[in-house]
Amino acid sequence: MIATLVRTELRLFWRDPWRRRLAAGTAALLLAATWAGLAWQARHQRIADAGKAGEARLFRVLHHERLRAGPVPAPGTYVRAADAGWIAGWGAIANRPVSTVAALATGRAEFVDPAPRVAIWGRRGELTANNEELENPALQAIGRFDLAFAVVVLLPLVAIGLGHDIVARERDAGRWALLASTGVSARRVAFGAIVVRGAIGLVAPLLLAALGFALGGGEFGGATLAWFGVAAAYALTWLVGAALIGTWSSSAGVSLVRGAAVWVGLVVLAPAAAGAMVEAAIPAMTRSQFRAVLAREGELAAADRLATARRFAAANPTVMPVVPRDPDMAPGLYVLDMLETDRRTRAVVETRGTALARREEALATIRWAVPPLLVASVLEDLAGTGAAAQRAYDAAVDAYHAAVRSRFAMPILTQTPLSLEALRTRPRFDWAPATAITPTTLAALAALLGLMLVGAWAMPGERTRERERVFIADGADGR
Amino acid sequence: MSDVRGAAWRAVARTEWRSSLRDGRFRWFAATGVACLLGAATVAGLAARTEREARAVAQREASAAWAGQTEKNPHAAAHEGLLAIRPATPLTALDPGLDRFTGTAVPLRAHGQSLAFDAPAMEAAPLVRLGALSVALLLQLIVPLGIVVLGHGVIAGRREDGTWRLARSQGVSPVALLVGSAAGLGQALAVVLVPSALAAGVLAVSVAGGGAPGQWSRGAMAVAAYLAYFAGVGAITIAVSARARTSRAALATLIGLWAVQSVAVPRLAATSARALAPLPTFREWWRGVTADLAQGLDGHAPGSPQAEAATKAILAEYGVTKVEDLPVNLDAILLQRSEESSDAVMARWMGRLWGQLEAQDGLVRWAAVLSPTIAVRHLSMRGAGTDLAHARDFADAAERVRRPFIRALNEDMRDHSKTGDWAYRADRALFEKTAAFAYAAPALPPLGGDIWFAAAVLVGWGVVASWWAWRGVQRSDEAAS
Repeated sequence: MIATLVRTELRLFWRDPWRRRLAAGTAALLLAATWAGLAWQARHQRIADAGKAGEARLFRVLHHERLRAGPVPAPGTYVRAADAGWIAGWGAIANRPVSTVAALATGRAEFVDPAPRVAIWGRRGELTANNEELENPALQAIGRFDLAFAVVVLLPLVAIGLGHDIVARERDAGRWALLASTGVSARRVAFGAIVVRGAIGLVAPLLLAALGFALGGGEFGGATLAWFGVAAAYALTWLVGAALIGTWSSSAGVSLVRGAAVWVGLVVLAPAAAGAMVEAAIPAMTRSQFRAVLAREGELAAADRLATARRFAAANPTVMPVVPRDPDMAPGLYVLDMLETDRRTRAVVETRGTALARREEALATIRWAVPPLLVASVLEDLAGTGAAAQRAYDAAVDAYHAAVRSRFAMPILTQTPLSLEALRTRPRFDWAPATAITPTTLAALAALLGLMLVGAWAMPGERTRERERVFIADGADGR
Repeated sequence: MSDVRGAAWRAVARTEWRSSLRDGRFRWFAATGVACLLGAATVAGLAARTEREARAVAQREASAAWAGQTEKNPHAAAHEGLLAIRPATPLTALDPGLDRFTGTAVPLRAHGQSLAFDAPAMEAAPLVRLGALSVALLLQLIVPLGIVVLGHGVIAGRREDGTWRLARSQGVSPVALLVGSAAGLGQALAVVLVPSALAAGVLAVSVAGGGAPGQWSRGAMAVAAYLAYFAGVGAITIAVSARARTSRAALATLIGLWAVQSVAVPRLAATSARALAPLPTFREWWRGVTADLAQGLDGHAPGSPQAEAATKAILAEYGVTKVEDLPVNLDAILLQRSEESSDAVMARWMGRLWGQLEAQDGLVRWAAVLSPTIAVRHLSMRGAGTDLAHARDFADAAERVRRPFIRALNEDMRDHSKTGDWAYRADRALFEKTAAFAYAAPALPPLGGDIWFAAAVLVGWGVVASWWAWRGVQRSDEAAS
């Protein structure tokens, strides 16, 4: 029976030029999104690599100068190239490579600098995301046409276009009552149509996009497979949902309008409302305000340098046996400003960090009620460009910054030149985004499959058939 | 005859208007539309108010940090600089535009103009980046969908239920039917949309704090743009309805068109703009800047040929032969001359960068020919003061403040210290005197060629769609007869 329905539906699909065009258009859009994502990935990686290469070139020059300079100079001798303050002040490139599958979802990686510099002087909290990379805000505000956007935003519309009339069209044509009288349930009719329309209109374009991704140089591993699996499940969930809406609608037109309304609610309004709600409920200091506070505290710390020096000398008599009479002019003593600023701003940094983390947590909870939000975050995480990657990167930068400070703060303070060995073994920044399948991925997949099953279950089955028969007997058409 | 025609289209309009009022979809659209608009206005107004206050506090903090410096060498202070914060206007509640994507802070520091940083979008959550909840989001995206849903059957529906033929048999001309249907639909939509959109706009701006410079003229510009947009969408709806075989086909076509033009085309246009006119990477751009800067005078390289030449000229100006005889600090003069040299270089490179950004934006604007949403978006952002032109205006204003600011610091060092006296420290009075930074967006939005182009595209859409509807009606009428 189902095989017959599938064959019939295949014939209908093939004969309908509108559906053929929709499937072809979807494939073309997904391929264009794949190409755009791959172009972005290549550019981002090129910038990250160039940043790192620049750093390597610089340090090669330093090594050379160090070797040419002969033995390590005596303490107190100022050698620019080997000065700890200069080295740590220049810092390192916190290279942020993109994953090999980042083209699938640009995510947050679009808004961060691929190769920011992390120096000893940077205050905690303003180290990352300096956004030095040139981007056009006018284009950023429109958004990037990547595969994640196409899947999360456009595929539901395609699914609604394909699925809204699965049942409603039969009603409009007056065949619904006839079908009911033959013993075929709505669920079976819908199943056959969903299989065919989903396979040709949604899954086939996704497969083409996957092929384009692989041919375009994207890596095809477990994460990629999971990515396309989640995308397909999401699109099919919308198709089932559209068919379900059709069973509750009096005509295909009503079904289409309702489908579009659900799309607007779930894809446009709910995420925007969720974002606004979370930002209002959990206030956090804005970046500019935070930067200004850090600047003010930095100035206060500098103003209080003598008192800080005295405190430091009392706590570290071996490092600083005598407090300089003019701490403003003592080379290296300004390291203390940095430590004092950290002390002063610790509470602000932590409060802001906590607020931002709470916002993330709130959105991570809310996303389970808003499927597009859930799928967007899962797709970004699978591509290594989501919130998880951002957290990991921030933690890596913090750790690197702490290592630079613990290594260089004292040489700067005591004006001890660095040896070649110290240059060679300086802390390095090495980070790569993870693209592993996480429990959240599986849970999201399970949630989508669950939604599909619920949708299938909610479709009219045997009981409806009985009801339709009663309608026929009464001369009604089941509307 | 013309009286009869006039009476006919009015009668058709009245019928359309009455049937709209009786239509459950219309009542649903009116209720949810008004609720969503007012809800979004309140939420967006509160968010704009919070952002506005936060930026005002940030500017106060930054100015306090600058003013609160202890005695310090002016040039050392100039290296840190004063942070200039771009204030948020209450009109961001209407249309946040690029506000979340442009940097909010520009450091006014020595050795050249800086790029703005700290765009709020850097910390936004996934999909929230699709669009902040605002009145503009609803007006640009949701209201057209409502117009499509309400208007798709305005001609096709009449043909389906036979009232078209009935009206024609009564001597009502196709023009009267077309004009009457359009007027009836327009009247029904205007009764809901105009007061609720205006109320939402006023509510959003009031909640956000009000008092934006030129808010009424800017509001009027946005109102005109949206009216033209809705009229255009209405005309397209009627045109498709006139040409479609059934009202369902009209609806499917219109929803497809709506999705493509408002969701897909803008992003495709942005992607194409990136490909057709790519920006340099920051490092490529900076390499060019530093290469040009190296040709000029470096205030920190006193032994360079440029510095030697400048020193000779300065000695000649003061009528002395030795640096020690100068009554002022030569280092400070060299620093200021180096500023002037780097100002010219930076102005050139910044101008080039803004030109590249505007070129990309211009390419996107051309896509308005395919998507009226792009045109109305451009006009709406310009009205709200949240577009690229206003971002540039702020950057230019900050630069206009930076130059005399740095000059004042260099002149203080020049006049109060001697050459080589890097230990010189200015007292707090200097910093207090130079701590103020205030920016106000222009009261009237700049009305350049881009604005007229966007407006022409919007009007063009309406005219072409009306003509298309008229041809569609004629053709279907000929076919029917």
